Amino acid sequence: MKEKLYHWIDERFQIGNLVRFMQHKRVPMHGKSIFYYFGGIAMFFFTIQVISGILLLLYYKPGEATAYESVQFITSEVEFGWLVRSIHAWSANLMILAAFIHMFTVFFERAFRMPRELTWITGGILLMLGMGFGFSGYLLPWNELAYFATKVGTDIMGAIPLIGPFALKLLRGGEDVTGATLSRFFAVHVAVMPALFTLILSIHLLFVQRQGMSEPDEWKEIKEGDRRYMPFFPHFMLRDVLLWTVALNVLALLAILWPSELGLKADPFASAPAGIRPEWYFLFMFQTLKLIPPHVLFMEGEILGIVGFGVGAAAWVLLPLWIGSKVKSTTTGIIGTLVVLYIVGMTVWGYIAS
Amino acid sequence: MERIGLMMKKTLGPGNVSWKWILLAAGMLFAAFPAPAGAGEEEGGGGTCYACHLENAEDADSPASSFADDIHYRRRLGCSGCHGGDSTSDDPDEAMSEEAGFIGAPDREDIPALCGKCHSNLEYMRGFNPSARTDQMEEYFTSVHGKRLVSGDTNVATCADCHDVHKIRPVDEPKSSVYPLNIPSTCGKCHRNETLMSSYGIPSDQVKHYTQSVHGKALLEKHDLSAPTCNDCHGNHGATPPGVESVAYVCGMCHATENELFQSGPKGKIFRDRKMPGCVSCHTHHEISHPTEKMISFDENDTEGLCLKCHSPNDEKPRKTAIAMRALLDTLTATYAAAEAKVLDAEQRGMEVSGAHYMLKDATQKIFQSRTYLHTFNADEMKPHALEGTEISKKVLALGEKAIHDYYYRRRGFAISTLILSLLAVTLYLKIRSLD
Amino acid sequence: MSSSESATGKLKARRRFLNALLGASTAAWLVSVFYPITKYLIPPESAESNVSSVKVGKKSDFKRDSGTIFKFGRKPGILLHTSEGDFRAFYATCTHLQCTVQYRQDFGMIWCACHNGKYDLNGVNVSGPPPRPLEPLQVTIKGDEIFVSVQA
Repeated sequence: MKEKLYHWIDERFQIGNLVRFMQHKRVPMHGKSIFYYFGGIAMFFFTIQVISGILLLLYYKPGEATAYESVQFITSEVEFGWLVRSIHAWSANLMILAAFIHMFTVFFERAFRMPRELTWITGGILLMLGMGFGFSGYLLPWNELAYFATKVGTDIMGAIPLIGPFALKLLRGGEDVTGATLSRFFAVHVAVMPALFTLILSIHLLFVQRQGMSEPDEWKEIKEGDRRYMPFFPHFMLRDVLLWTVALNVLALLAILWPSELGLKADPFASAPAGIRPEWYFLFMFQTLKLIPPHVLFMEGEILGIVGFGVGAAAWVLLPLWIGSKVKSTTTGIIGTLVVLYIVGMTVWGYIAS
Repeated sequence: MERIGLMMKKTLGPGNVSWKWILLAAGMLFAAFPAPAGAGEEEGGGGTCYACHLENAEDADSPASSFADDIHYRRRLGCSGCHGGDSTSDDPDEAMSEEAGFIGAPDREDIPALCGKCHSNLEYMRGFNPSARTDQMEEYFTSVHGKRLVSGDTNVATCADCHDVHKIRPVDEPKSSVYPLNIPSTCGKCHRNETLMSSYGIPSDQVKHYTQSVHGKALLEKHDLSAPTCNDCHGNHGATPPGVESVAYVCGMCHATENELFQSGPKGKIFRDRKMPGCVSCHTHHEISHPTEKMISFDENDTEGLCLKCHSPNDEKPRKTAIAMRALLDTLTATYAAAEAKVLDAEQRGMEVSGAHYMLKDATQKIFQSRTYLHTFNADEMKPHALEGTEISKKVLALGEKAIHDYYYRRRGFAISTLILSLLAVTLYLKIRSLD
Repeated sequence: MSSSESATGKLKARRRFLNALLGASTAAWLVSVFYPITKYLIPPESAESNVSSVKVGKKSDFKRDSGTIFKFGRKPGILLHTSEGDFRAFYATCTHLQCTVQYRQDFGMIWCACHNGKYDLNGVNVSGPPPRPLEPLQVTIKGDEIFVSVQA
């Protein structure tokens, strides 16, 4: 029966190649193999985001007069609505976290070098898109906190030299954060970004499958026969699934113990509540901008910060293009440690300061 | 224009023989050209008196220093209007001479008439405010204060004691001594004075009681300007304790339904016939606290119970009524309290209960209504309201219970899903082991 | 039966058991995922998330010179049919201490029983404690039916 079905499909789509490819695909086994899983975990959370996002779309109504009320409706009236919303919010955070871990392990293992430059670049774009998802999704419940966080966040965009005012207007759909902003963010969050993300994720995965897993530098000194591998299917795949079940349980625990709150409806005329703070993955930038003095040499501090982050992000994403494949491991080690220390330090500082 | 203004200043003051028509004209002009706020002393109503007294003022409380805030000064009415004298003369001896009509500080017993010179003159007052009232002096002489003043007692309050002397402000200005929030302390200036009050044989604790009463708290703590203060029950200028028969009508100005139900019920007739004061018999007057169900009790050991103040414990029919009404209210408030606590509990567990909150408001309304219908002193009339409130409270209680049930349901659900996920994880692990 | 054969038999049995267990726990897991999702998909009783408009009833349901309390979302509303034949609606919450107001035919006014507050037929507070007018609602008449909505 199983074989019949296989033949039926194989006759039409020639999946034999694919199956053989899967059978031959193997994953290197060594001390740091655990880090191979984080990309998969991030992808798992993305899948949850798609499913829970679609579920939320069934009841969510964008618009100044309805957004908040519909989210309230979801959390109070719809059965398990609170769970779906909390899962969507927590899974977003965990996805970004997993992506960060994935990125830094790849960086420290220097797996971005030839031939994986484009895999790194697409990964970088995916992380930025993920953060964009977070930023645009944060406004959608149209509550007080979201409103002011978006106001502050977009204000920062407005300080970009030359294109700032235009970008601000384009982003907000007007001079201020209004119902028009909500419509735009909604469109971007549920249509533009998912499409872009899926496209780039497919390319990213295609590259990974085509090139196989990166092997650690130390393996160059080991004889080919002594290198240990694990078949991708089913061995590695099952381990992936095992981790996903654990991840799912952690997600459920977080969603049940700390469900997303809604707070008060956004009121453009109210004064900003105390402790307006962006999501944790923006906090290191937010805190840096707060710390930069108003004037540095001939530049305005805020502009300097924004330009600095723009250049920094571009440099980070395009890293393989300028750092070269012959870069020493001590160099990447120092750069990576500094970047991690900076991000972690600023995030912690941001939490303590507010 | 300038000349007319000067002439008006000179001739202003009702003491002048030909003042009537000039005042009329002046009043109209004032109404048409109101003085700018904070006008300088040249423009203000003080003339030379004001300038000189301000220069020689010893402190900020001196008459001239405080006069700039006075409504009379703001309307360009100067010192000589009350004190007489010539406000255009630079020479103090001449300005404050008897020939110029200077009277200095008026005697206390003359104050009402002095103020009344203008304030009881409708034609004059109309110039400033077309709907100004002019009956204050008339009212005053009907008040206890006024009557005593006439009989020669100068310790009683006159206009200046409540309205201030040189810093008289309109009643709608929060800084005014007669602004609703300030009335208790203004009346208290004398009525809190134990020695003064005991000489009249009246208590001096009314302000203290009022401050602690439900009305005093509404006014002074919640700043609800509609809450009654001293003058709302006693009258303003005609301040007098309301008579026995009129008490219910005074309270009924706001508590209309209670009064209506009380008057049309059996109690109203009895109270009227026996000339007993209505509301205050149970609720007291100055220290009115938030009424509770405990007031209705036929139990002799019940300190808060009031029925036995008049009834004997053996009055069978009233006893039954009281017990029935008390039972209805007790059930209602107990159910409400239970429902409220449950909803609060659910809320603290992070559950969404805004729907229950809405219904709780409905139940509160029914509690008000039941307490209002208590004044019929007829259990059957109160019953439907109380039962409805109890019913709503029960529904809220059920909603709260459901929310709390949901809370545990979520945790149980999570436990089950954890169990399943753990089973899956363990079998996956075993499967992986078996493959290696 | 040799010992090696029995060992392979045992191994086979163990593998079968493991596969069965894997299948069962996967199935249980699927149920635990699809149960909440299915529940979520079933629309709740009040299928609308917020009230911006309510059908109060037919014109003929309301006599002239009368007022009717209706539920507007989570707040009470009052619909007036004036003696002139106009329909007007307000939130029925008194601006003094949030009691629910009513129409008094004898006064021809909106009245709050709690402290004798009075509003005229435009919802303006005219006597008693209320500090502010009632919050107005929009009345729309389509054919014979009366709809009340929030004011734009």
